[in-house]
Amino acid sequence: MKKRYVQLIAIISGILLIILSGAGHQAIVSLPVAAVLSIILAPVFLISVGLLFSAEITDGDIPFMGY
Amino acid sequence: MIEYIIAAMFIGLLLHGIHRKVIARIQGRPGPPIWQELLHTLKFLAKESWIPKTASQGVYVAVVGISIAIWTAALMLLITQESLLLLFALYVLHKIVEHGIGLASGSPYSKFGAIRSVVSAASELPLLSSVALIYLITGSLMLRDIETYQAINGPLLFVAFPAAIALYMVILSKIHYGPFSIVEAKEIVSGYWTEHFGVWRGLMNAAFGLKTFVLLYTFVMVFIGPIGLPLTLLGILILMISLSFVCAITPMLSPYDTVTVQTITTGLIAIYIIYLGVFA
Repeated sequence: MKKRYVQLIAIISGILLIILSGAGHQAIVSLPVAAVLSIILAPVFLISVGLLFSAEITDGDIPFMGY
Repeated sequence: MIEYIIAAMFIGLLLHGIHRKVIARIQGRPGPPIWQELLHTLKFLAKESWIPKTASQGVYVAVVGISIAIWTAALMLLITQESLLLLFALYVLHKIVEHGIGLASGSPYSKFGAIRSVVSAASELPLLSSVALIYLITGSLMLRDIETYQAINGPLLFVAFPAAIALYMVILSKIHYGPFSIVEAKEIVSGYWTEHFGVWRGLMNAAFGLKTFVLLYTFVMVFIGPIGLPLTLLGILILMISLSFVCAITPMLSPYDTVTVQTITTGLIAIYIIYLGVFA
């Protein structure tokens, strides 16, 4: 997987999570809706951030096949 | 929302560190610093990651996401004070994670862990009896109703003490180094998650930190009631330390004994429920 795609996914999901959090607190979006969307986005955000962390030690792209 | 998720993961990992520290001190060892599990998680995130050739690639990665999603959903249920029954359902869904992780990889150790996870399905029995008893007493399974009940009638811990013991056992069966932790016993290396390393292991660690926080928070919410955030966190800490004491002084039971103890506990609570239903 290309590092750029992972970066893009991390940024988009991160921004969406922050917007959802703000919208939930300001009651622009109802709490259950914000919660459900956060449940979907949180794994996407965390996995992409995790992959970016590990990509730092390789030459860029994220290896998906091993031994 | 994301701030709650990150904070819960952070506290959960810190609780894991405290757990290890308390166990070590009881056993006469200095033990690791309490932030060790946080460092572990960060260390794994910075390690090179790949998927073993013998693993089922889709499942291998998906279970990590599912694990985070399940415990995020459980945390959201607590924040929105929804149904305890949904929380029970999510807890049962965690079995998918244990099976998936274990069976996705080609390692015999993790497969043994996954098989033991099937056996340890008995750990859901005390949870079922706990939920049933809470419903019988409060007349509702909505967390907000349970909190209201406690605000009026006092903590459920005293009224529904057997249910508290049952939930305590459930948490004990999911905690590291516990007497019922047969799915990750040392004789099968790390059990079902032996083959998950690098970023996958780091994220699983974070998800399990979230799981620990959610389970302890549920206990305090359901049996102590609305006491404010600082006291809730104190309650969670005391609960964690008590669990560490139990883990430090009890050996890990065999799969057969684990199921026996959990089934007997459920049976005793079922008798108590029948007594309450018929005589009280």
